[in-house]
Amino acid sequence: MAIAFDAAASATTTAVTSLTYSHTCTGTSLILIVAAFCNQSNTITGVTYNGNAMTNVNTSINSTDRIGLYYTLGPATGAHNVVISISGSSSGLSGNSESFTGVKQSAQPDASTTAAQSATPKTTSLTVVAANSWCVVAGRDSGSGGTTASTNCTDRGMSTAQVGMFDSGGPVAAGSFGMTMTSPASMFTTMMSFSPDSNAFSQTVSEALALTDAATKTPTKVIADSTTNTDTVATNFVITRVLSETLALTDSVLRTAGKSILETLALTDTTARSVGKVILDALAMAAADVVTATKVTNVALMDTLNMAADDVVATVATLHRTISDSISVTDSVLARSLWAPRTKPTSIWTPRGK
Amino acid sequence: MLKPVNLIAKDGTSAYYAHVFKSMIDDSDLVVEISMDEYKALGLQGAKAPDAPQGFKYGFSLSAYRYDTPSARLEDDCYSDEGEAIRVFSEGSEVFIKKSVLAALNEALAKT
Repeated sequence: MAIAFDAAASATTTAVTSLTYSHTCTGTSLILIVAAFCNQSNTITGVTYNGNAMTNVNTSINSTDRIGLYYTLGPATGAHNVVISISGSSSGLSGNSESFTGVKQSAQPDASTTAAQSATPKTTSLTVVAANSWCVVAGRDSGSGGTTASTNCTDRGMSTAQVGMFDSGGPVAAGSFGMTMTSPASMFTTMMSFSPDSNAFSQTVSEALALTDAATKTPTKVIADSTTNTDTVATNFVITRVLSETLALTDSVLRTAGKSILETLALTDTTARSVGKVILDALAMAAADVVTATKVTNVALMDTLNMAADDVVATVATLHRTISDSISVTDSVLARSLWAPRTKPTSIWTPRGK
Repeated sequence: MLKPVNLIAKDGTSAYYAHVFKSMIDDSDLVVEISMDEYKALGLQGAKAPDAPQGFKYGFSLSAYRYDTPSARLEDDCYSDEGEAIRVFSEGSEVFIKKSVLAALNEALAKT
C-alpha cells in the first residue's frame, strides 16, 4: 500500500489559551500530522487527537512566533477532535492537520528539520531516508503576507495569510528533497518525511493477485479447528447435534418436528397424530387426564356461551370447516379434522346427562 | 483611544469557553459560550464535534481569558493591565507588551 493523502482540516482564531477542532481520519495504516502555530512567548503544552497525546517532531521559532509539528500513528478513524493547548494567551493560535494512509506504523518520522527563510524562494530541504516517503512542511510568514505553495508543495486548502501547511503530493525518492513556499516576508518552517508501510503493500499485492492454496485453506482450517472437527461433514453433524441438544429433543421427536414443518404445507394423518403426541408430551399429561381436561373445558365453554350441546356441535363443525377453508386442506384432512370434534359431543353431551 | 477593561479570570471555571460555528451562507461566526466541563469534554476519547444550529457548520472551540466586557473577550480597542504587562486588542489582533518594554518605548518616544 503506497502512501495516499486522506484528509485535511484547520482552525485559526485570536486571543485564546487553547483551540479545539475536528479532523476526520479514514483508512488504514494512518498518520495524522498537526502543525500548531502560536506566539513565540507561548509554549505548546500539548496536542491531542481523540484524547491521545501526539508526539512532537520539532519546534521552530523566530522572534515573534512558534510552530510545533506533531504526529500520531494509527489515529482513531472517524471524526475526532484535535486539541492544542498552550501556556498563557496567544494573540493568534492556528492548527493545521493532514492525515495519510499507507504509512509505516513505527520508526517515524523518516526525517525532520527546521529552517529560517529570508531569501526567495524559501525552500526547506531534508534528506529522505526511505524511498517512496512523503513530506510535509509548515511555515509561518513573519509579516502579514500570504503563504502560498510553490515547487514540490501541494496545497490542501489550509494556507492563510500568515501560516501554511503543504505536503509533497506524492512519493519522494531517497535523498535530498526540497519544498518551496512563497511569501513576501521572511519565513520560518518545520518539515518532516514519513515512510510507507512496506508490509501492508506486500500483503495487498498478494491478495490482489491470487491466493495460494495454502492461504485459501487457512480460513477453512480455522473454522474446523474452532469446532474441533477435521472435516466439513463432521462439522455439520456437530452443529445438528448441538441444535438437538439445545432443544432437548430425542432423535424421533426431532424428526417429527422436521416432518411437522413440512406438513404445515400439506398435513397428513400421521403428522397430525405426531403433533398431538408432541403436545401431550409438552403438557406432560396422560391421555386420560387430557380427556378429563377437555370435558371440563367444554362444559365451561357451554356455560360461558350459554349454548345447547347441538348448537355447540354445529358451531364447532362450522369452525373446523372455516379453518380448513382458510388453510386449503384436502377433504381427507378435513375429514380427520372433523373427526376430532366427533369425540367432543361425548364430552359435551355428558353434562346434559347430569 | 483605548478603553481599559479588567481581566476577570485566566483559568478555572470562570475563564471563557465557546463553540464557534460558521455560517454556510457568508462564513460569519456564531459564537456560543459553553461551560468549562463542556469544553474539557471535547478533548476526551470518543468526543464528537458539537451539533451545529441550522444553517451553520462547526468551526472550532476555544478557551480564553475572561474580561469584563459584554462578550467576555478582550474587545477591539480595549486593553487590560495584567500586572507586569499590558494586553491590547486592536484591529483584530492581540498584543501583549511588557511594561518594561512599554517604558522604554515611552522614553524613546519622548526623545523624538
